Amino acid sequence: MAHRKLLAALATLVVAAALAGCAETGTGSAVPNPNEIGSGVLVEHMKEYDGMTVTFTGEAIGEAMVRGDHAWIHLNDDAYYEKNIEEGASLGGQNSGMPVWVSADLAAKIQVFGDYKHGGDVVRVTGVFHDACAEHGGDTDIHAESLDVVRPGRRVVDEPKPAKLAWAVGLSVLAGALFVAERKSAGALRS
Amino acid sequence: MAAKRSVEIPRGLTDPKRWPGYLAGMATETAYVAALIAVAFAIALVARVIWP
Amino acid sequence: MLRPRFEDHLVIGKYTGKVIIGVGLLMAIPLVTSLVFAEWDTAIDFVIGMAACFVFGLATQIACRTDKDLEWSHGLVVASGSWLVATALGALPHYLSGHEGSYLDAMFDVMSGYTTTGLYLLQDLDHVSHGLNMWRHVLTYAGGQGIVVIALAFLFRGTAGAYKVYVGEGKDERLLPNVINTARAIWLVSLAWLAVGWVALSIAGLALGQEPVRAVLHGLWVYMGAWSTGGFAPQSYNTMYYHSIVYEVLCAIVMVAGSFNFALHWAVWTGKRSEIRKNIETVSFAITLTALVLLATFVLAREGVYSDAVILTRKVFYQLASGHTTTGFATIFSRAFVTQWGPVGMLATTIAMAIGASACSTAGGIKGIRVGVIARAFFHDVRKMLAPESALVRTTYHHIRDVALEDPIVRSAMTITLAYVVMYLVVTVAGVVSGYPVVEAAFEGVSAASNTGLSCGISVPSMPAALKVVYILAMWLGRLEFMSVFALVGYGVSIVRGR
Repeated sequence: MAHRKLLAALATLVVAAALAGCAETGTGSAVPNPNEIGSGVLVEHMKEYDGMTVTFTGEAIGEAMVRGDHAWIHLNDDAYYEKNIEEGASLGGQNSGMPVWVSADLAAKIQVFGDYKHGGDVVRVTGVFHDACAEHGGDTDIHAESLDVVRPGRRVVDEPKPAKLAWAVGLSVLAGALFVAERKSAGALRS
Repeated sequence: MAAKRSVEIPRGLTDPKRWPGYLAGMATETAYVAALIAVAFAIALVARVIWP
Repeated sequence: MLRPRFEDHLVIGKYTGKVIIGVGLLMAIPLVTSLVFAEWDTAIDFVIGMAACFVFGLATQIACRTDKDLEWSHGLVVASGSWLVATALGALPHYLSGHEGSYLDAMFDVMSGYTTTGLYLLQDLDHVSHGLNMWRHVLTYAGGQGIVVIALAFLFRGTAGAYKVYVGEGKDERLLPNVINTARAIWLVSLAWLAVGWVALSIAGLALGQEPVRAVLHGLWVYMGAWSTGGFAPQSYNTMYYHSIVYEVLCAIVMVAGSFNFALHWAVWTGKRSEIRKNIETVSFAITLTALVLLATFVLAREGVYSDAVILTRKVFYQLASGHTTTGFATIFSRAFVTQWGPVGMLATTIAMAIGASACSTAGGIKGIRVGVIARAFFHDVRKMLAPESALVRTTYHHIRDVALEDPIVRSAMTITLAYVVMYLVVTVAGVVSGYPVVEAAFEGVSAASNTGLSCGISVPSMPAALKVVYILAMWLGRLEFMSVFALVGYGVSIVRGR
């Protein structure tokens, strides 16, 4: 009987932990999209916007990939374009943005690209939207004629959190102790 | 099974003598993918003829 | 299943613990990566993750000391059970990074990684550290090899019972007479392709205008995503990020090669080159892929979505090969499946994903060998019907050697296929119940259950938690091909029933 009670207690614990695991942490306030016609709208209504001139603002991420006299850049107009998670922004869904084909000279205006250690320049481009660009292997893109940096990017430092550090030290010590104990008990068994 | 020939030298999987065979194997596999792409391209050409 | 005795728990605990220690050791790779790039906060996440794995693993080693070797049922339970524990503990770095909406989301991503699915709920991927990106891709690469095979090759050292865990993980092919050598041969194939694929993709990345460090990292990660038929990529744009036909062709080569049966690789690599033309799985794959490419190409050409033949091939072949190999790379936006490709294009992709690639590979789905065997059996029956009564109709299929088509083979192929079809139906219904249109629910559900990872936009952090759980279970069941999961359930039931 005790066996069953123990199992029931264990099962309750597992279920409780599982339910706690499902709890969402801060879905946060919605960050307003910088665009009248955002990337979500463009993808959702590709055919309608195909060939139209659009103005698109977003954070430059990754890098500018220069191909001859032009370059590929990627602009994200998602919840993180002004402040990303590493800077303490609350979660606001997955990334969303548009690939932009622009002259290499204009792309050179972008100083900082977004990644783990950087919040990228926020850039505004104006150009023609293609749902399946004939020039670029059917990719969805914007061919930009103008590019302005609206807001410069910055370096982001993700400081180690003291609470996490304490956990790391505590668990490592415990693991080390268990390692010694395991060796000892293995040795005892052998002799 | 192909395993048979390896029974004789189970330790020598990375023997330099085996590498030309391995590379030829990779080339064969690449050729298989190339053939599939070629067929897909032929289909696309036909499709463009029907729906220009 | 027999009621487990105390000894059985010990054996299962011991081997599960060993696998989890293996997972902890694996975290050394992303840990070193984050240290190299001075990502201190990420490094701490991995120290916590590693320590947690070691605590669990060592504690079970101490608690479950036994000399008893594994039996078949143990192997199955260890395989499925350690995947669950490895998911729960492997999710720690994901969760601690702050990029996951809940622990469930983190577990979704890790299960998706191990099972080489590729769906993810991680938020703000474009600002993720190199360390975490490395972990995502190492997870999927290790998962493709089979985490148990890894532990087998490096930790177990010649236990006879280890083969039983290996089978439990859904890989029952012996390339070489000895299991450990089989594991080594699998590693040899994967690492040789890793060297070639990584170098090729890195050079391509450099030529495409990436900075050297990023080109090399992306080359490695994209290779890992392709080879493991996983489908993770370092940027949220997936492989559309590179805008290059060369990069796409390289990805296609690696993902198709990754979807081959390891026994096929080994045969081709050791001189039986004609195997690639004759093997039932490569033949079946070529036929179904070409048929689906034909369907999708014609529909998209009729709709006039793409303007010339090269573009049609680039888009259709890439997405369908990605779906059929159960990789999940895409060069179109997720929602473009709905807004550009439409229902027929989506159904073609769904069928490709449902069939999947080869058995004993990194791929998921029903698998070519079963489709081939069932097709053969069908033609066999037709021939038998047409032949005179006295005639003896004999059918064979070619997999490494000619195998006579016998009823038990057909039967087991049918049973597992039926199990997959039922699972596809269940996940589709679960999607529809959650309020998604049926074509989208089928696409996304089959993508999860066949371990593909193409998305039409359902798998986002705001999807219902219940559907996340359904997808996690589907990925797990699909990857382990049901049997070992049922063994685990049976084990659980027999514990509760008690003595």
